Amino acid sequence: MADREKRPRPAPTPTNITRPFWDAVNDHKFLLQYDPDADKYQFYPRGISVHTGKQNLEWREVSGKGTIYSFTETVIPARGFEGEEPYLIAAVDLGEGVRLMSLLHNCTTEEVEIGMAVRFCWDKIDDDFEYFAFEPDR
Amino acid sequence: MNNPLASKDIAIIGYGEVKNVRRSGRSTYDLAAEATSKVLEYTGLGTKDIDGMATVLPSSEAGNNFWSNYLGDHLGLQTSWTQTTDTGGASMPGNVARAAAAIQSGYCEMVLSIAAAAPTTRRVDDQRSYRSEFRNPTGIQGPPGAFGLIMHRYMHQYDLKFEALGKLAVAQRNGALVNEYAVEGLRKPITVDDYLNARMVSTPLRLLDSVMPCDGANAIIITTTERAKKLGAKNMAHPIAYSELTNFNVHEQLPDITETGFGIAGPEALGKAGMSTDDIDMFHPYDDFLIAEMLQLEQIGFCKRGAGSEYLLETDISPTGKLPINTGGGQISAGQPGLAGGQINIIEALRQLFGEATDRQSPNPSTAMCTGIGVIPYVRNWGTSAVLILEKG
Repeated sequence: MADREKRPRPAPTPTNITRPFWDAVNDHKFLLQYDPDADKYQFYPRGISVHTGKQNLEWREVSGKGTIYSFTETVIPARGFEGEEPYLIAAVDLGEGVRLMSLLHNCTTEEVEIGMAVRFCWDKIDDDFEYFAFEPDR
Repeated sequence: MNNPLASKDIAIIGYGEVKNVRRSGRSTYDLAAEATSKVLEYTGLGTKDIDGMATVLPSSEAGNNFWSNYLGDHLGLQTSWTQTTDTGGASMPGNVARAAAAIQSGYCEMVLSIAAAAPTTRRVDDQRSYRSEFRNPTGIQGPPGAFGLIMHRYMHQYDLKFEALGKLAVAQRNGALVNEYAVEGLRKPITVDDYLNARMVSTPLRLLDSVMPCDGANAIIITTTERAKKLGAKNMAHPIAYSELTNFNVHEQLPDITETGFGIAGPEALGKAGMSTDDIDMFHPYDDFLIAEMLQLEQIGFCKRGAGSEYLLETDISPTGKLPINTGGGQISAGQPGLAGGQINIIEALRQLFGEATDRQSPNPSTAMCTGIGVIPYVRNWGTSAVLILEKG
C-alpha cells in the first residue's frame, strides 16, 4: 500500500463550555467538571450535570493518576497520524471516577496491559493547542 | 407490556434496492430515485398513492437542514407526514415503528421509508461535541478503533474465539456471493484462515471484521394491513414488536463497554411479541463489525453473556441452519451504503419472508428479527440499540 500523505493532526474545536479545559491543558493541567450536589465528576465537559440535570458545575484539577481500562494498537493510521503507525490508544480510568481516551506513549505493545498504572503527559499539536496523552506510571 | 404493534394492523408490502457500488459518482437523490422507482414497481403504486415519507440523514447530504423537504420534492411526493431520523444505523428500523405510529394516529396511510447515501462519492458531515474535541485529535481510527477497545475489554472479561468471528465472516460472505446487490469486489469466497490472516486495522480488529463503505439506497412501503389487503398486495410482513434505547447508561461515567442497550431493548421486544429467541426463525443484525453481532446475540438472549463464541461455533447460521444470520451478506460482505446500510438487513428479511431470496432462501421462515445500531459515543459502546421483529403476513 502506498504511503499515505501526512495531514495535520486535528486540533480541538473549543466551545464556550470547553475553553477553560483547553486553556488548562495548554498549561499541562487536566481539569474535570465536578458536580458538588452529586459529589461526582463527569467527562467530557458538558453544559449540564448528567448526574443532577443542574448547571452547578465546578472545574477541579485532577490527581493525574489512572489505570488502563482497555487499549488498541492502531495499524491503519487516523487522519493526521500518517507515518506514525503503529501507535497505541488507551482508555484510562481516573481515580476521580471518569474514563478518558488518548495516545499511550513510552510503552510497547508487548508491555501494555489492562490495569496498568498510567499518568498524563502532553503533546504539542500546533502553536495553539497541546493535547493530553498517557504514559506508564513506573 | 404495551405493544402498539400487537394487532398486526400494520404491513410492509414491498421493497426496492439499488446495487451497492463504491464511488458511484451518483447523487444521493439519484440513488433514492432508483430505490423509489423499484419499490413503486414492486407494489404497483404511484407517487400520488404515497402520503408519508420517512428517511435518514446521510453523510452525503448532512449539510442540508431541509433534507426531507428536498428529498420528497425530488421524488415527487406530497406528504402529510414527513420524518428524518438521525440515530445512525438505528434510523431505518426506527422509521418502521415511527411510520406505524403515524399511520395508527391517522396522519398518513401509505409511507415510503427510504434510505439513500453516497458517502464514497460525497461526504459533508461535520460532527462537533465530543467527536471534534475528544476523538479526532487522539488518533483513534474512528469506529474500528472504538471496537478495538471494546474487543480487548471483552477478551479481558470473557473468552473470545476468533474462529467464531471467522465463521460468521465466511457465512456472510457466502450470502454476498449469491446477492447481486452486493459490492462486486466483495463477491469472492473467503475462508476462516483468510479472516484470521487479514490485515489488522486497530488491534484486535481486522479488515475482515469491518464493513466496506459504498454508495447505495433502499426503500420499503408501510401501510395498514386493511389497505394492503384491498390493494391485493402479493406479499406482506407485519412489524409485530419494536424497542429502541438511545444513550444507554449515559449517566454512568465508568460503564462496562461490553454492555449495550440491547440488554434492555432485546428482551423487551421479545416480551412485547410474546416470544422467546426460539421463536425467531432468522436474525438480521446490524453489522458494522463482527463483534457487534456477537454482543447482540448475547444481550438479546440467543446465548448467555460471554458465550457468543461457543454459540456461533455450535450453531448452523447458514440459510438452512438453526438460526440463519445476515443471509444476504449483511453490510460486512454486501457493503455499507452509509446510513442506508441500516435498512439492508430489513430488505433481506423481507426477501426471505416473501420467499424471494432465490439461491439463499431459507425454508419457510415466518419470523425475523432485525436490529439497528447508532453512533459511537465517547469511550462507550454504541449509542442507540433498536430491535424490530417481523412476521410473515
